[in-house]
Amino acid sequence: MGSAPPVLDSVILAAPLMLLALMGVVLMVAAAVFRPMPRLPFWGASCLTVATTLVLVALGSGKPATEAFSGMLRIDAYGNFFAAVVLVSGLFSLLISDSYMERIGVRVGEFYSLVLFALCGMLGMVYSNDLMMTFISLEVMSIAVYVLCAIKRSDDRAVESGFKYFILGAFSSAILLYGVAFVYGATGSTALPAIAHTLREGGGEAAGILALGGALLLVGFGFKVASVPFHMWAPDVYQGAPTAVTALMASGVKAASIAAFGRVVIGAMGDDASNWNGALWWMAAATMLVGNLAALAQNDLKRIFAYSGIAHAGYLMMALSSVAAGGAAENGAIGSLAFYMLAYVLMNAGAFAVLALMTTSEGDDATDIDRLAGLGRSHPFLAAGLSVCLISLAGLPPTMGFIGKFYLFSAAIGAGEVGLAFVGAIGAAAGVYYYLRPMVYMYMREGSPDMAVDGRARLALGLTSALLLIFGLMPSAILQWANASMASVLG
Amino acid sequence: MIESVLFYLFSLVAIVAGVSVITQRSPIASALSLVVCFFALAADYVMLDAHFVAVVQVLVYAGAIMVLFIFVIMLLNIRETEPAAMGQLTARSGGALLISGLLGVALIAVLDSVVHQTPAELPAEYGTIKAIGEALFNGTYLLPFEAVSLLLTVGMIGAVVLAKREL
Repeated sequence: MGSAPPVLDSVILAAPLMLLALMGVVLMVAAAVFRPMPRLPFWGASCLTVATTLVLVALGSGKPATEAFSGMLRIDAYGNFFAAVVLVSGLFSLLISDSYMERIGVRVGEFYSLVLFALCGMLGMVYSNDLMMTFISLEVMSIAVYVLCAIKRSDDRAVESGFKYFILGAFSSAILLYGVAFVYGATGSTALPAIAHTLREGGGEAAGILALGGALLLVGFGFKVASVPFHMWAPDVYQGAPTAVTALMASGVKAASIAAFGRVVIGAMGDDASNWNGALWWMAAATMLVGNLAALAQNDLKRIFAYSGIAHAGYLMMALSSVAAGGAAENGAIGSLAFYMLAYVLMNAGAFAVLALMTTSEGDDATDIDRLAGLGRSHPFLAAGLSVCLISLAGLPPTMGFIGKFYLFSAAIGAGEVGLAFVGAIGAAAGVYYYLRPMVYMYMREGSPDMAVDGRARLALGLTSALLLIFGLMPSAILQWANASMASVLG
Repeated sequence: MIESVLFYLFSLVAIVAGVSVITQRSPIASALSLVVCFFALAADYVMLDAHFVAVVQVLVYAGAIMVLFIFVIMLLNIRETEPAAMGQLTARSGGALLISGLLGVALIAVLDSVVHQTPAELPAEYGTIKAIGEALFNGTYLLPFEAVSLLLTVGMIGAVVLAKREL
């Protein structure tokens, strides 16, 4: 037992992950013992767990970067920021899920256990400093989310969504793992610092094998963040999955994947960035264009948000590309990626809180855009909150989305990616149309929308839209935190 | 000397059993041939100083996975298949022949580049259960190892949630 103290240190450093995993197991056992599931204790316990984890992450912030578990995890400001973003997304998804799951007739205790496991996997991805750990965490997250998609087994579309996500996700995971193997073959390590070191020393032994590994990693991560041309699954899966799960997929899964992707691109492949940037450039450009243009033709709100999520993956990859291209470190906008990620999670959480209320009396999701008609008159609070989220998604002032897009594009231009910024601006201009279309329905069409009543979803909507406005008017504190977090992964 | 004789003997058993897997008519006989093949491979691993892999080979492949195979075969009640007429080159058999031929060429090329090298001297504890246990529980791979158990738990919960008739 000579090495017990260092392991204990690591366990304390990784306390957020440990807590989530532990509570996931506790809820799993509790779900088997208490049948039928008592709703309030399960929901309360999982919310409390996520909130406590958020506090633990906050307590750990501000400390110097340390490695845990022999370098498998790196607890630094970058990890803490994205962990907080992921946990915020989890908290908002949980906030809307209790009454939503009851409305669609799914009362399964394992739901909460799986959400906690998924969040644990996301935190693992965010902190991971080793490709092996990244892969295992990504699988923990993905498998939990596959099951969550299909948790309403009586609904054919939900089962189809889970199945589709599972099959394609399993393929992409295999491709990612193949990429890890090639990178290991070329550099002799799966640890990100060791890979970076080998590349700095002269690119390892076989540049071809490294490039192949890098390309496969790009495909694997590209699938997880739903970037073109690996985005085809997103609309069907988002539409078929229960709305509370879609909320988690659209925000938490995306944030964790971008964070892990960022660590690999910036942390490990940074010195090989020229090879990466060509591919990243084209993927980001295509993603921004295809996501925004395809969303124009959609009439289902969940599909609109799926394409909007694809477009936002493009913006985030543009930020990744400009940080990886270097030069961004000087212009003070390197935090744009982290800042925009937080903004994206908040605006999605608010929008999905409204979508979760659009269930029919039979317990089905009905998120056609027509059902919003007249919402402005019948439910002024919901309409106002959703409008704030939509304005923020469109990137208009005075919201956080505007500040985020502003820094995102100035970071891209500062890094010399003017062409990419131009493509992004075209996409964003198209985006304004489909984000404002629901507002036209809410305020300018007559109708009697049928919304479920749920105080907690209203609370989620109120909180997110308030935060979007506050951070839109006073972004400096968050921006500083975001800049510090990105600096910690560069340095 | 005796080791290399045993090595080639077990390799021969593995090859014969492997051929038997695809030539048997009854699925059960095929599955049992595969078990023999796995055991022979496990013996080969022991000869190669990979003790842990040998044990896992028997436990996981010959044990768990084969039991699963045989269960599926018995439950699904798969009949003996009619052997396809020999000598007819259909598109499918042609494609299979082409792919396996290409793989065979690649394999021979790789083997040819390796077989002439003298093997590197192994560290004394290489591949022993102790060395692997140290790496898994006391060294670099503690966290991934534990995370994999979490992964399996999640997979199990998922299977039960999706497949159990009444929750």
